[in-house]
Amino acid sequence: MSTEDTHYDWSAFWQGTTGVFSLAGLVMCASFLGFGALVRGMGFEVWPAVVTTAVIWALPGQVVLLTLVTEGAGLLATALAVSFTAVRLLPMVTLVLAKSALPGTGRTPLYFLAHFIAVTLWVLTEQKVVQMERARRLPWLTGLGCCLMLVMLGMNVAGYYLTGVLPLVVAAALAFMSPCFFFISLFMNARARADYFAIAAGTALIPLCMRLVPDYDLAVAGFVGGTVAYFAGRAARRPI
Amino acid sequence: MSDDDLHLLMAIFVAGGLATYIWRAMGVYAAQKLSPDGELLRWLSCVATAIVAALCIKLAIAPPDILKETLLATRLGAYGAGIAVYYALSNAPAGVGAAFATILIMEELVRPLL
Repeated sequence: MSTEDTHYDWSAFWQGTTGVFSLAGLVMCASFLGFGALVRGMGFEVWPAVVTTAVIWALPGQVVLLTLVTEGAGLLATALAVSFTAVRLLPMVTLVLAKSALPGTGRTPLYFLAHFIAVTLWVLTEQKVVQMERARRLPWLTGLGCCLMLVMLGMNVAGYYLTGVLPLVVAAALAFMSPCFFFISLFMNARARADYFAIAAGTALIPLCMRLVPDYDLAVAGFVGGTVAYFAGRAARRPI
Repeated sequence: MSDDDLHLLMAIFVAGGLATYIWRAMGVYAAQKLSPDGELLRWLSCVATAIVAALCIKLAIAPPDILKETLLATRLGAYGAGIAVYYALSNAPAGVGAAFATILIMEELVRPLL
């Protein structure tokens, strides 16, 4: 490790902000426009769309929260339901930070960046960030995260007021771009056999888990599927 | 601000923000304990990959409201076309574009024929 690797190079923060102009940024715009429209359809004012995005920064959780509020669910039940959707963030935060944080530096930047980490930053870490100098990685991601959030707050407002302008089928197609991008990204980022096994295992297990453990379906499918894939990948690495 | 607004704001911060950030904070904690190239991280990467694959398939078979009107074949077809075009051209934007086009074609052209 060189001596430069003891301090973050914060000049990369500004380069990170330009990462908004990317395929990832574009599909996120479609999703957050859609979320703004959805919030209006639920009968809320515009501010809950904006505040949930700023405070939660994970669309499935945001949708679950506002849906439960409209149904009059209690605070604890709502918190639990939202929390179940957020379990997936744990491995993503760990993986992103393991590849971007400098050992021996303060924790504050880690806890700050963690708030912005969801599927998109994880995907981009695997695609782009691992090729950067270590000291530039965390600042780059922080810049991108901050800028993405600012843009998406604007998209929420735009989506809220543009509801009904788009033909329904176009709106539906736009809403489905994020899952498509994520699914394709899994294949893009797959390097080892274990990664393909993990895609297959998650895909195969989720219909079963939705039926058997509907509240924990993603966590169970991910944990069981990922574990099976990991060991299958290990077996494939070592020829018998 | 009305009482209802205050309740909603509190729900967003506590039941939304806090309930979500707890998992991120645990992720930060775990990142400091694990060695960057260790086997545990490989395993975690498999888990994250399986979760995202599961999330994508779940969104296709039990879609949110805006997608309820589309056919299951449309949604699965979008994934299939996206991945096929991504591999054929080694280009992710082309894959996403193909998925978008598949939804429009399936819903506007194929569906009326069914």
